[in-house]
Amino acid sequence: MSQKILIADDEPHLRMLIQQALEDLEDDGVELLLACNGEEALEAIEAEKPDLVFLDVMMPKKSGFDVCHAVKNVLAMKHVYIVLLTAKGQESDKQKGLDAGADVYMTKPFDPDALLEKARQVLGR
Amino acid sequence: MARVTLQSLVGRRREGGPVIAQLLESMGAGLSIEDGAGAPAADQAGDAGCPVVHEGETLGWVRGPAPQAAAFAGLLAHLAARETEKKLLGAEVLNAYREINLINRFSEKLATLLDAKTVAAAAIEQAAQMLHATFGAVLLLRGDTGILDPIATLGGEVLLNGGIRLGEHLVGAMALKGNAEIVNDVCSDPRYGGGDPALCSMVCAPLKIKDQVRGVILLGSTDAAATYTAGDLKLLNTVALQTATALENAFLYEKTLQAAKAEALEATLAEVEEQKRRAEDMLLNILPESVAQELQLTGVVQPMYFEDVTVCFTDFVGFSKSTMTLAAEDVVSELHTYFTAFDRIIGRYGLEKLKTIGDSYMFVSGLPKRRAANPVDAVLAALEIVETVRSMGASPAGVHWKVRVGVHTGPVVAGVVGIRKFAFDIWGETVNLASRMESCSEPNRVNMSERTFARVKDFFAAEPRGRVKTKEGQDIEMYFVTGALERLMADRSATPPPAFQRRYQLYFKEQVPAFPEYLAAVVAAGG
Repeated sequence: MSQKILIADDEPHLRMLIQQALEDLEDDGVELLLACNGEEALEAIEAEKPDLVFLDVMMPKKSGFDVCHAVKNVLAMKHVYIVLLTAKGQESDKQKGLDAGADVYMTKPFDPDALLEKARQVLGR
Repeated sequence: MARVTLQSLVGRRREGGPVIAQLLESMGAGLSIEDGAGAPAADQAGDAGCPVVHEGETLGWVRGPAPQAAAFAGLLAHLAARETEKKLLGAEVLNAYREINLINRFSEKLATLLDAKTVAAAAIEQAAQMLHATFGAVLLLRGDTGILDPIATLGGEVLLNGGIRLGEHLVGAMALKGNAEIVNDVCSDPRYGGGDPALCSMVCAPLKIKDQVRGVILLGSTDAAATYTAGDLKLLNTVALQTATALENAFLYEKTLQAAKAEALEATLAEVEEQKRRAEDMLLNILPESVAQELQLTGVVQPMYFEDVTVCFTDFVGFSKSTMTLAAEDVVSELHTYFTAFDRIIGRYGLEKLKTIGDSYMFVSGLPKRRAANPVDAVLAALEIVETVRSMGASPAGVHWKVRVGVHTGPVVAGVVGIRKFAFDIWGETVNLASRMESCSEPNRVNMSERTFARVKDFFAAEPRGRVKTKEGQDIEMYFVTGALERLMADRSATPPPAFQRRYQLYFKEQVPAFPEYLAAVVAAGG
């Protein structure tokens, strides 16, 4: 079964950017899944059980914090590695994200190379 | 860039996947899609299928009735073309995002740097990373010399031969031009010359501060295959703009820092000078000037022998009684008033105060500057001291002391002893005899030895006391000074009286340093 990465962001160009940044992994057979709001993200995680999720914080319908909390605490899918990716860079937000169960908190503008590196590390590639 | 496949177009989790599946089903003609290159074997119905061709490559096949299969294959080929375009666009956006991200981080880094060399080094590092350069340098114009000096370089194997003159050779010409420029074949450029770095390709951008070129940032490669693009030029220009601003800030900071340091240094120097002056003043307060200078220069004072000085002691009559009736602070206050007056008197005669011991005041005439007139000067000062005490009358505390003065002339040894609270002092039998003169004196009188009398008798009248027994049992010839010789005081038209002045001049080849006003008046009244 191929490894999966979910990219959840309500901004289409950012979804495309992240997708593009992870293109090398896609070429290697990693499946890239997309979600454009919090609800879609939660459904996709529950259904597809991705290995890694890049999760925007400020999304319609359900925030990244809520999705993260639901995945880690309600669905108890502790094995899903969640990277919160957001423009919110304050220390309190970071702490809130980590409290919600996020594994890593990255701020925008992100470094595409660092993003790919993180994905490789999580997927063991 | 990732290859476009039919799977990536029609996969169920893809954006277009469900639509394709729905379309395929609605056409209801038994159409199916096969992913993969090459020509597949015909199926059982003998259908070879229609190829989906994208950029001359077969991505897969659509099987089914010919017209529908061909139309569907055409649709998939179109979608593949769009997907490719999308990926190209995505790659370009990602690249731009990566650059923005790098520039953003570079700006953040520059904001923390306050040193021009560090700013330059960070700029080269950043630019070299973005432009894949093997060499980089930031050159700044050195003052008004027109020479561009490297302040930071990257890639040590390519050396800049010292400074480059503005306008000369390739780098100098690019800097003079003031515009960013790419040279992809450095050696064939007619401007290329000795001062330029040995590179195959080069890109250069000016560092402008307030529209003035203050230097250049230069990136290049020793790889013959490397070429730079307009995009690279734009990037370097962006870095150069940020670097120039950061350099200006660094220069301003440096200037401010220097000014602050100079100000602090000046304040410290002024403080040191002030302290030195105070120390010198204090030293002069306790030591004669020449002795203080010797102490400051050498750290020690050599003992000095003075063949001829006059030593004076004063002592208050009634002081001991006052200490019993007055508060200590009142006694000190009274002493302060009298001794301040004495200080002023001996200052006028150029004499040296040595010390006070309780209510005794000791001074000396004829040192450290040797003066032949030392006995005369000492007696003049002694007479003025007596008259001052007499005329001060009773103080508000009711004190009305009288003073005994003793004077003797002879040799002494002078010097400074000890290392703490040191003081200039004199030693010898002369000092002891002067003290005896004081103790054998009477209230408000100046008592002198025979030796002093012999030296001043041509200036002062004296009352011989004969041999007087001291407390130690010695019999010593003593004289009370009664005033200036009357014949020297006959003409009172000036102070000091002209006859006194003339004699003093004749004997000692100098002017009388001061003269007691009262002495002239007493004689005048008497005369």
